[in-house]
Amino acid sequence: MGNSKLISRVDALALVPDGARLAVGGALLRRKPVAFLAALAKAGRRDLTLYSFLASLDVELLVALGAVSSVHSGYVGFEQLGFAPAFRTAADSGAIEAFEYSEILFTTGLRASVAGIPFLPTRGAGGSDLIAELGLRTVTCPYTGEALTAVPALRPDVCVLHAEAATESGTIAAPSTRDFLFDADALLARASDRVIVTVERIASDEEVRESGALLYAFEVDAVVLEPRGAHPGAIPGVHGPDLEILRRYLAAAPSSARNAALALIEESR
Amino acid sequence: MTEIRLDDRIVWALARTCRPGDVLIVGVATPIAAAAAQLAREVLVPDLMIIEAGAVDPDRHDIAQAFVSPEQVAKNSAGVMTQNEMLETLQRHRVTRQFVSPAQVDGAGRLNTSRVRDTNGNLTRLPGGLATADVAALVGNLVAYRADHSPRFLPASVDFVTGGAGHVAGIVTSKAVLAHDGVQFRVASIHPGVDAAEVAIGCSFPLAVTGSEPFTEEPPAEAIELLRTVIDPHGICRLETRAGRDDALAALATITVLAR
Repeated sequence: MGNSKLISRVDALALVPDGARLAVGGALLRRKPVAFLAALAKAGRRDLTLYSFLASLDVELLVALGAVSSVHSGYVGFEQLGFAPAFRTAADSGAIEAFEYSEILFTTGLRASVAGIPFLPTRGAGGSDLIAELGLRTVTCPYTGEALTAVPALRPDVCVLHAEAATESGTIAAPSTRDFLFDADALLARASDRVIVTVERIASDEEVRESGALLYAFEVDAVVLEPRGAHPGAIPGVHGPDLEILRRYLAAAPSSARNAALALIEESR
Repeated sequence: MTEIRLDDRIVWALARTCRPGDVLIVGVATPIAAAAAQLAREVLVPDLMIIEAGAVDPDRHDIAQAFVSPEQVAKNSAGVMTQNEMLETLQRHRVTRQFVSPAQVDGAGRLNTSRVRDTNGNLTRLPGGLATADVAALVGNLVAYRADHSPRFLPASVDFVTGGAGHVAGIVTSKAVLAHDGVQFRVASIHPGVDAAEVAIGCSFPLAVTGSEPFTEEPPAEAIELLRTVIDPHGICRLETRAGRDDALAALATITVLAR
């Protein structure tokens, strides 16, 4: 057992300064570290560059509360519930810069980063306008001469994830329900310089040995106890999304996204 | 006799494009694609391999489960592929078919799920293409669909090229089924009750229309029965039609509460 990684939310917020390149874990409405991000925005953070593979409430809340200057993602929305109103308005008006990726372009950038190399070639997104828009260049295969897209390593300064449980020393338990998107969190964490994980509860070393690990203690910088930390988003196998709160937000946001976001944070406590 | 809705017609037309040996991925929030995949496997192509939200070869199920409790779909399947495994499978060209629902598709088979022009002509952002750009480059056969048949959906040229490789084998609309003949899209069939002129007027790219196209095959009673009782008893496919969206959302809200 190593030293304790457990720190207070306030101390963890200090690891994400103004202007940070912040990677946010979870996918769609699942496992988003909503409580931490809400606290970050309420603490007045500015000019964040967000990296969120498939975003929903994470990007939407931070944009609604004025904490963001740019967003890198493959999707920002609420699936069948609709678009992300604050994100859309800010991206359309130019108030924030939005960089759209395909799923393969985003994960290829992360995989270059986790492998410690400057770029990885891919055939993903071939023929798409996204490649030029992202400024991606071509590399020629030295063996076959094939032209491939070279995706540069995405290396965020700090990553924040939400998980069900961790040991005090920072080993993160694998999710109890391993849906198809759970592996994206480990990839994002390992691609980032520092890793903060908010958790529903602290578990014993024995329990996490039994459940298996998502990340090991040496890969994690801070653990923050944040029960109901993904609410009103979902944690697969633990609780579903609170669709009522989300619907109220989406109905209220077009008139004032900021007030709607503050109301959502209040309701989600 | 049960009434046949527009979403039923689109589901059946998509299902009919499946071929033996196909490996088909179902994306998120596309209930018509999910229903078409299952219907194809049940009544047309028994060996169709379906991968739905990572669940490989899922048992027959109500498509509302994918919205309400995706872990149930996963449990009743061969197993769950992670997102990375799925993207790698795509990159090895092992996925042969996908039904996609872009905001726009043009005559060159280019897909747009990224940005469209608003009434003032300004580009406005959609939530994002997920893997659209990737599947356009890497999946053998794409079939695009939408409950629409207007220049908005079928423009001369898409406002933004999200997916550009042009592997779109067919397009199913609210009025017709279009098929690519290697050179251009032609009208393969026209939905019953639709005039050939409407099909031409609603499409801004060059479209071969002869006026002697057959009607789109009606979904057989067996298919409608399966949809109503097993695959989509709550009518979630109506999320993708203008007339049915509110009813489908209301139905989804009810079953979300029940499932807790």
